[in-house]
Amino acid sequence: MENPFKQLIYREALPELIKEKVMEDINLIKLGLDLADLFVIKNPQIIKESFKKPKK
Amino acid sequence: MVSRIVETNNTELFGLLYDRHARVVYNKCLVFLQNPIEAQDLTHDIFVHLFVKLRTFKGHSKFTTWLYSLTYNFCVNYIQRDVEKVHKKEPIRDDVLEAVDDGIPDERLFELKWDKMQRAMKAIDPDEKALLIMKYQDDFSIKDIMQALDINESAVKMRLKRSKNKLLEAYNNLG
Repeated sequence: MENPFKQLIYREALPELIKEKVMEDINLIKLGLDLADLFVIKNPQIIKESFKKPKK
Repeated sequence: MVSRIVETNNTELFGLLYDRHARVVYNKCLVFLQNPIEAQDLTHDIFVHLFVKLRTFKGHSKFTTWLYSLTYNFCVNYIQRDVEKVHKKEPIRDDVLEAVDDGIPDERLFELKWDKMQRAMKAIDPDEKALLIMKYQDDFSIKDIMQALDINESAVKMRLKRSKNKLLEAYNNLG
């Protein structure tokens, strides 16, 4: 007896354009993550310095 | 590969992961959305979401099981967010019965004609469709479904029983 659910599988191709859009978006996300990592995790003093009042 | 992407946020590696799984994810979206453009947009959204969500994969199940669960949840939410605006569905109650026997043997489902069953699947709710596909197409265990839907064992069995009944009812109504 054949399981009819196994015959419900589609086999359509996905346009290459979708990959391009995905890669663009995740590169943007990665940039955000890298910037957050740089300023918040690795060099938090940069942010501290930029909020310091200038010495008279 | 997943752990390396999580550690490094390497987008090239993520591209390889995409190449490996995108077509299957797209074809799973097509089961829920017959419109290819909508299914392509949803596939895009799933993979962008996946890049962020990947670090929550703990390896408790196979990666494909986890990815398909994420895909089904995405599809169901996408379809239901508009439907729920129109008429609020009665909440699903899983606490009515404990550890139910689902009554309908799997063999009875396997006797269905697939082309007619495909039409019947369109008539049932997307969450019921997702559950039946997880169980009978992807061979998810009850434990996998529990994790995918974040519900307990008796709730899974209760929902499976309900989904099988609804499918058979829709199938028989097609004449």
